[in-house]
Amino acid sequence: MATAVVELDVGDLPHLVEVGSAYAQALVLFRARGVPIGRAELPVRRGRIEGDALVAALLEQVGSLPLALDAQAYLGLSPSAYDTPQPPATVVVCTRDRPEDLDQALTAISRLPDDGQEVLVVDSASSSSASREVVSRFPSVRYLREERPGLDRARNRALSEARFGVVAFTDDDARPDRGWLRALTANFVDPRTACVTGLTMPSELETPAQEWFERTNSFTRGFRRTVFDGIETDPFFVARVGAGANMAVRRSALDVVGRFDPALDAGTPTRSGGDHDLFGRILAAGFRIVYEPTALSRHRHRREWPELRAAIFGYGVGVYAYLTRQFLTGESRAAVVALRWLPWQLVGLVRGLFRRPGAMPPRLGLAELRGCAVGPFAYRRSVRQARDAG
Amino acid sequence: MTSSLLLTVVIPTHNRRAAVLRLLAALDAGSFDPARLEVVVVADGCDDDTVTAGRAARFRFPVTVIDQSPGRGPATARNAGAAGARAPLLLFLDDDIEPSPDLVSIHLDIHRESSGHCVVVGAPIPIRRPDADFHAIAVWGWWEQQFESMREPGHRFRYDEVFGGILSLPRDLFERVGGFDETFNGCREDPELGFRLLRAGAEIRFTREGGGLHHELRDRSQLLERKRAEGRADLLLARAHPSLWPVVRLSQVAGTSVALKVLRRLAFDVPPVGNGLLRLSSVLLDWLERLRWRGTWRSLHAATMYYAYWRGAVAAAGGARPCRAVLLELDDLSSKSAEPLRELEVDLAEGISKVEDQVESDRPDLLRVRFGDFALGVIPAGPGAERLAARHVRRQIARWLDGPLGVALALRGAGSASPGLERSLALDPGS
Repeated sequence: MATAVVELDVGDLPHLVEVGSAYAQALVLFRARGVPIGRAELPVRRGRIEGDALVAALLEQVGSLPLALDAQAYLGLSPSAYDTPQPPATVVVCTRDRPEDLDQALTAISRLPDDGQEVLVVDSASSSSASREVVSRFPSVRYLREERPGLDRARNRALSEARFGVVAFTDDDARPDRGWLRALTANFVDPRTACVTGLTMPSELETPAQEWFERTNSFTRGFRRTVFDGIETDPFFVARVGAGANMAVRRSALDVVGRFDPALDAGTPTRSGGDHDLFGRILAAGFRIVYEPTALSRHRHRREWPELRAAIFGYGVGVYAYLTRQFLTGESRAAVVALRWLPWQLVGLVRGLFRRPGAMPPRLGLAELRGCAVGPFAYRRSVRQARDAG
Repeated sequence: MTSSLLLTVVIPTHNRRAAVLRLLAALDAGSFDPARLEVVVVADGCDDDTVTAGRAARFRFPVTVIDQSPGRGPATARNAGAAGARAPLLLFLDDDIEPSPDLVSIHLDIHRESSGHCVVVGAPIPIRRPDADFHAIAVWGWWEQQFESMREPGHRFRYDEVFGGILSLPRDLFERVGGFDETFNGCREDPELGFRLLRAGAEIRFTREGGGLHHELRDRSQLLERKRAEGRADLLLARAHPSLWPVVRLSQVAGTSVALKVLRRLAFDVPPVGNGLLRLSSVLLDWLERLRWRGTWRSLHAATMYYAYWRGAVAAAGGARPCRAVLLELDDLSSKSAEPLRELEVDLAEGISKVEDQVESDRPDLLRVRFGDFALGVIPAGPGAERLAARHVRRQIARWLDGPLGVALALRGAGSASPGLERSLALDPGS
């Protein structure tokens, strides 16, 4: 049975939440004063979540954070940037042949508070004019067409075209929350912050494939703001930093560390890895990446098993393609990291075969492992293609 | 002319003619009325042509060059510059700083709006070059880390955050505290001054915009030498100001890791081995950088700096045995000469504004906070930190006491946290 995705404010917790009999469980996002503060998975009985279960989950998962927020409010200190206008930034949606998703993403973006931001859509070699037509319904959005495929190429095009120094990226299958952009941009006060990532929650968990994705590859990195300082953080542990579906970068810092590698990520043989490669280079150069959990966005995970399997395969390819890239640019530790990671993949696969709790189903584990094996070759092919494309 | 003068810029320098001219040119391009400013360059034992070039150059403001020969160090040079100053405000600039165009006007604005005992620290912003090596990245990161906390609203400044590279203050305040202590010539003279300024009730302000580019960052061997000098200077500092002993690195030996204990042992008892390892580490660091093994490089780099610091202290004390004796003596001196703390108790239930007023008029070292009948806790005294003022109160309470305050608000029904949370707290007031 499916999982209901519910949002509740802790200042106004109901005694009972009706979610419908189609759901066996619920994923609850707790907010305090509008700010996301925690999540919990709760059983659904007869289509309802009981209020006592909510309170218990709140105490267990969130603890005394709402009380600390009350204390900050009493002291007149704003707990977040939600209510404070921030310097303008550029919001970018890179898209390819997903006009319906793009429409939803732009609808969500159009609800952001107006801090003077510009919105760019980079249409990455879509096969039809449908994306252009969607964008035409949003007069303030600028449409850019990139003929050469590749997500990283589209991101670089956006960086070249952006008017502002901070550029926030969201995927076409994501829906940013109202406070998303402010929460991201507020972190750029520190000049050493080159990148800010946000919290990505699922927008729906209606199919087993979506539930598995959330269980094994969730984009959620917790509810504690975390600073990854390149002066002390290993640049190869980038998976915990966040994901490219919800991130903002400082353009001037990318002038130092380099832009996205066009041979990586969706639309190329490497399928993913562009964000991790950039995170690694940012940290290696001594800059900071901030994970800001109040910068909430919702992502629609792949609904069907074949899509999910392809995505997991793509992650395997992307990770090893990114490690190959790092190795080829002189980062000798990339080889050690790649070799160290492989046994864990195998252990995960065996656990899946024995149906251990929390383990990835074997067909997904196998897909990821196949992707890892393909990754280095995919990178070589991708570099060649990128060079030929100019 | 003297009556319209507002600011004297004092630039101590040693054999850096080009850097001084770059600084003066940047000042000249700044946004301020040149009639309000004079510059005093103190050439400290220069044997290049700094003196001639400084006297020959023409700018919108008058430049006086004092030839201090033989060289007597930067603290003496700064004092000599201040002694020659005519304006009511002093701005000390190190010669490797390239001031931002608004530096002077920002410092003047802050002083104009302040209470007359304000000390303004500008950020010496290191330049991050695209081809920076590991060491340059580490140094750049260290500086930026300092600025980050100093920029936070309500930050409670410490003595060692008074950087002498870009520092402005009223001349009478500088004279009242006795200027720079010349026994600290070349190392720790600015934090030592910072300590005396804080004791005199000075209010520290930090400005990044009123800073400048910091051109000459130390390379690895210069930083090692600097660490040795810091070890030496910290002995002097703790002796001059025993209340600083708990925050001086020399006192922080308990509970350190085995690796640090070994490094100290090498510095104290087997320096030939330690020095040999230090030379070897230089080769290793180069190799680690070539392989880009950052984590191992960082650990080894930090170890060399730690060793150099302790070697500096041991050498200054005259050997291992005298150094151990001095450390024990300083520990004893610190506990005997502890000054009484100024304490204040406040009730947050009376409102945060009232608490701020009380703190501003009392300027305590330590604050006991309650909310009606609930004792929330204490904002501790920080050795070498500013006395608490109104501007610190909210952030300090949020930092130290936000949990207890949230509970107190919930028990009073004054918060808007989850009714469920409030219910559970009401059932268990001890929680």
